[in-house]
Amino acid sequence: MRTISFIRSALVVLLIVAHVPADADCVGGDVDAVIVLDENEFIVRGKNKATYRKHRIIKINTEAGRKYGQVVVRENRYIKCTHISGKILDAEGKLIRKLGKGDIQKNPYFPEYILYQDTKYQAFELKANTFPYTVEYTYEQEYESLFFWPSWSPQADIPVLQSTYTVVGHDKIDYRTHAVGVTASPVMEKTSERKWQLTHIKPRAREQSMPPEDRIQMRLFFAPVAFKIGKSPGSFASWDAVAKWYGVLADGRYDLPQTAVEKVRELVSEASSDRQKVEILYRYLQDHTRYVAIELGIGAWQPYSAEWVFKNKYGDCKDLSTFMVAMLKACGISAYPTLIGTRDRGVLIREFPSNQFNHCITFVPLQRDTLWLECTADLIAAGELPSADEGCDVLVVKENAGEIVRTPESTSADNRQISTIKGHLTASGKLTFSGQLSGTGNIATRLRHSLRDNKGEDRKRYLGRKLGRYLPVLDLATYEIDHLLQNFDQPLEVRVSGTSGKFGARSAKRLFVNPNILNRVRPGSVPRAKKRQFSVYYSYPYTYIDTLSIDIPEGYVLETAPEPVVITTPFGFFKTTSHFSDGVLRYTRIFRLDEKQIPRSDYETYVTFMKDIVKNDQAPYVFVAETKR
Amino acid sequence: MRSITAQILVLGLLFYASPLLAQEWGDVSEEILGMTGIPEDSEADAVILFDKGTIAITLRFELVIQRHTRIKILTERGLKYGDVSIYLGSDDEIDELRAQTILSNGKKITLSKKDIFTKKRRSGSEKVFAIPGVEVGAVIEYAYEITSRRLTFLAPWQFQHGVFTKLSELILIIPEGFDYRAFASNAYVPDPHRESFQIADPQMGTSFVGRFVWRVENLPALKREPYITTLKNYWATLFFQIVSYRNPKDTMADPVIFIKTWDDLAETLQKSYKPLLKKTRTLERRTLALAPETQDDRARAEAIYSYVRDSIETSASSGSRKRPNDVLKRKKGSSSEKNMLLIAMLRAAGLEASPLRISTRTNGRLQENWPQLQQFNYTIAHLSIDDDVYFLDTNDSQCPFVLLPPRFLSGKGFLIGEEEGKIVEIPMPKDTSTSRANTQAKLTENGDLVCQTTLQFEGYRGISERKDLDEEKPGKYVKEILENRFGDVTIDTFQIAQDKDVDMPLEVKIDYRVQNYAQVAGDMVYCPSSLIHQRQSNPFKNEKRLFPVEFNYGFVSEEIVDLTLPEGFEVVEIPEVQKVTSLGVRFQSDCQADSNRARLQRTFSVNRVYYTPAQYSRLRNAYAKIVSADQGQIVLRRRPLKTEE
Repeated sequence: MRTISFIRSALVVLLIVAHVPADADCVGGDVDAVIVLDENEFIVRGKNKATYRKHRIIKINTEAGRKYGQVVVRENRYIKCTHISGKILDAEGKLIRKLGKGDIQKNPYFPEYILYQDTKYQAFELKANTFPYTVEYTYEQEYESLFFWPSWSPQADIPVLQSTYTVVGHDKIDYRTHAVGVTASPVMEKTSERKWQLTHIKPRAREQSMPPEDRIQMRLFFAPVAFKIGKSPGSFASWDAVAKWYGVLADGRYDLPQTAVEKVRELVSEASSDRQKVEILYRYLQDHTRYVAIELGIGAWQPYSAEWVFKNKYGDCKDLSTFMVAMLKACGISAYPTLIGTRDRGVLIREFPSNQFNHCITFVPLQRDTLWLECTADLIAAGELPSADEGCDVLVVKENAGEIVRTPESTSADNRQISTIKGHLTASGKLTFSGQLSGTGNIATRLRHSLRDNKGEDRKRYLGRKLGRYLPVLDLATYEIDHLLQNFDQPLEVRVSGTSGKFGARSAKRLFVNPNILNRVRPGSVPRAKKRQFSVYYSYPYTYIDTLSIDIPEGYVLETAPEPVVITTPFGFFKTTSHFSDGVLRYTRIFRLDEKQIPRSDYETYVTFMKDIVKNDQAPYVFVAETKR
Repeated sequence: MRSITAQILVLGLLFYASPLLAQEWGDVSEEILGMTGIPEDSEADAVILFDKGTIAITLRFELVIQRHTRIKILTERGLKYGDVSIYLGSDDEIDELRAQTILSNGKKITLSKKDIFTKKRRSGSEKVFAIPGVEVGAVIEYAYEITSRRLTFLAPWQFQHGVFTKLSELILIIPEGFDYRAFASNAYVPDPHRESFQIADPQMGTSFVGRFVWRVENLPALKREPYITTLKNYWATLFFQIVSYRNPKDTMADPVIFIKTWDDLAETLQKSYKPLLKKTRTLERRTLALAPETQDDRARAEAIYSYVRDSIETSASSGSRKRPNDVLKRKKGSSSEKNMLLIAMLRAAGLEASPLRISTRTNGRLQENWPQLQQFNYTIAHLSIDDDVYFLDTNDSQCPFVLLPPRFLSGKGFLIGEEEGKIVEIPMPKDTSTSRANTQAKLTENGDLVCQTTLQFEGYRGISERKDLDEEKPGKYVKEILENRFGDVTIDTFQIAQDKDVDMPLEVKIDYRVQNYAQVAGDMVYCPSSLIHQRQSNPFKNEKRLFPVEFNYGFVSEEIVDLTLPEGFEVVEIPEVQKVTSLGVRFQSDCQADSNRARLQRTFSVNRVYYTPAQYSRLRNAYAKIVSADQGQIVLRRRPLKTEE
């Protein structure tokens, strides 16, 4: 069976290579590379056994196309790579070289944030020095669990002439598929074989700041109804079933030793409400544990016990959530671990129960309000979620059921930065200033991280850089910070003073002053594309309000001021006001992004909005020396 | 933990009664447990209380390295020091690895063996673990013993780390007869305290063991700053090596020489290069075909260089070294195999070429008084033609013959000539990165600009621009150059010339329009005077600097803008001439105007690549002046309508 299918595909390949015109319709002239053939075969050998075979032929035309000859094959305890072969052919189709054993690098890298995982990699690169050339490779992986069933991604960043996905032995098991941007029905169906195929596939569309979910434009997902990882059986029949599977993995792991129970009770003994108890215990978790990712086999899904975390004081997201749930349980508050696919990866496909998660948080349904806890974050208040967890459909793992719930989203009023600066400018161009900056929500979290990670002299430098981003030079004299490492429910406050030499530009008679020193929209951040396919995506909505007043040196009068601006759009608001009297220039700028996702229909408005802001942000106030008569 | 004494005893080589490592595992004073900070670094996240190492050489010519590190955690951010990685060479064996946390109440939580993981590396491996129970205020410690056979290479001992170090101590124990050499870099490391012990051995009678102790206390934390090649150049480090062994009982016997001088190393390398640089018929034939003897030497060298650079594919290093013939046949080789092929071919052409071993810039400066091959991580070619010397690397397709890619500008290298080996200078090239912009522009009365700009990039800038051009479609590349400066622009036409000939400047000619370039307010128009080369921000934001500023290379940028002014406007004011000359930084911006034209000439160059912390503030101020000068504006006013007199 295998041999036959191999010969057949080899023939197909030959035909394709022979007949592909240089500019096939989707290829559109000069492309860096073309995937001539992408064949995927998933051979189901049993309930928990399968072989995945990938075979690709890629024609590489330019230096920039070279990267498509780089291949990384992933392995873990349940996926083993059993075969790799490859070769390089020149423009005439003559063999340049075959991939040798020594060309395959094992474990070329480890992700930085993970201390240890049993995912391993094999990597190789097929390349030649003269263009064009063709690379061809095949690899095979043995799967010991269908939990990891690879999806079909027919699309790439370069044109694909033909892509196929064949499931062999599909009658051996029950499974479901979910199609995104492709037709779900196979082109060929036999008792034991199903095949999907697409030809002349346009490259994936890419736009700056596109919503994460739109990065997947063509995909066919597979999920077995029943699976097993190691000894743990599970099911993707429904979300309830997924929740039950996780529930079983974590079963019996919420019990704390007596010393821990006593500690928890002691901590909350003075709390007057459940909410307060949650806040105290969350703070205890933040202060007494650290995030360490050790991901092993089923351990990538099975949490360590609460007792283990209490003793060792570290864990990954699910370990820390287990501990949090256990502490709450110890003082009579119900809480649930919650599986989440973070927002940066897209949105949950509700109608397709499957493994769509990469993270775990904690859900605490209190009587009056519901609290969400991100147990790996140490600089946010109980109930606040980092932007990656906001607005996600998540699976709350209850005792015997699963519930899909959407996490809350912050608004532009929640994420706010307000600055007030007063300055005195001398005729020689030296600005002496003092002022304050306060932040809330996601803005404060980001700022807290940067300030915490920079200490002492580094912190001063960091603030100096932040304030002096648009100035030729800035020297910070003093700074004070409130609510940096505690009171996360309070705004972060920073007070500063310092000087900036060479402030603004000067000519013999004029001073050019741009009072917007903190937040400018740079020309480079205005989107350039005339047309837009997807909405424009930000991590969160926000507000910046900046107020600045500067004493202008004596003897100068205002010659020109940029027009005051007010722009109101469905997604945001911008306003500047200024006033010059008694030698003082007073300036206020409000920038508000109300929607984190700006629909395509508003794209033109958005571009104009940004352009107008750039123009206003760039324009200096011009002062001219009074002519003495 | 077995002490080193025990280790030596087990090997049956030496007796040594006195304890070598104080038995202080878990023994932490109340004072340390109660400590909440250190006066020397009030905001420290953690402090290394001690980092002690003992390196002992056994008579079996093995190294036994013991290490015991103890850290006090002071803040939440300091918890990360509880995540530990220990690197091991491929022949190294680790033993007795243990770790624990001592909480401020004295309670201890120990690491269990099953929580220690091994990551396989390309060569060697890494032990990783998270020390359990770490919290703010706790003390953590870990210790291990490594047995290594790499006697000829003792890894340098790093005294200084990313956090404040109270005590760093290294003990070297060597039996009588061994000779070693050590030297410190970058900080004052005192001479070692030395003792000698007599040991009785049942078989060998009495012998002596030397014990050398280097102790450094209170070392400040080291932190990265921008424009530093590598912090390795600034760590307080002790380099050392075993030189020889002479059996003290048999003074007539020849000593075992491990390594001695650069000359010895040169000899070793000459031997290992010999088969690689052997002249073969194939090589000679190929070389003569590429570079016939009728041409002059420089032209022949260039032809060979271009051939190896362009026609032989660079592959990942496989560990083994292929002979030039094989590389030529397979048309593929690792970066050093390609450079060896180049040398072999240059020699086949009768030219004076030799391998030059270097430590790349990020790998750290060459330590001349530490003759140790492990310092080097790369080989380039050294070519002499008459009085000219060329440094060549064949692995950057955009690099012209006369330049060496910046990462290899390491200052010095170890030349392995046919006759002798020696340390030679790699001179820092001057003015080898040039960028020119020449623009004819017309300003409209609503502030738009219509331009034709010709850009030229040469030298290192040419390499980097060609790389960008390779990565992108030409249209996008051109667009990005302008959009990075102006935001929205409309490009009418463009031409790119000499993009394939890396020995010529890359030339880009663009016709484009920029909307709202000048600010128009009533009858006034304010037009920025500098165009393409405007410096918008100071790269040196920090007020103070701990380490020198290191640039990769110097550069020159020149710009001329000829601006036609809108009809009916007069020039009210132009920016004054701005000049900055300071420590190798030269800047001049000069604007001239008549009734309907303005001309801006701007040049900016930096010809130094190294600034000491003391020179930092002058460098920073020079850049501040340039940023300010680049904000200059030409002020125009609508001419009043002439009324009939």
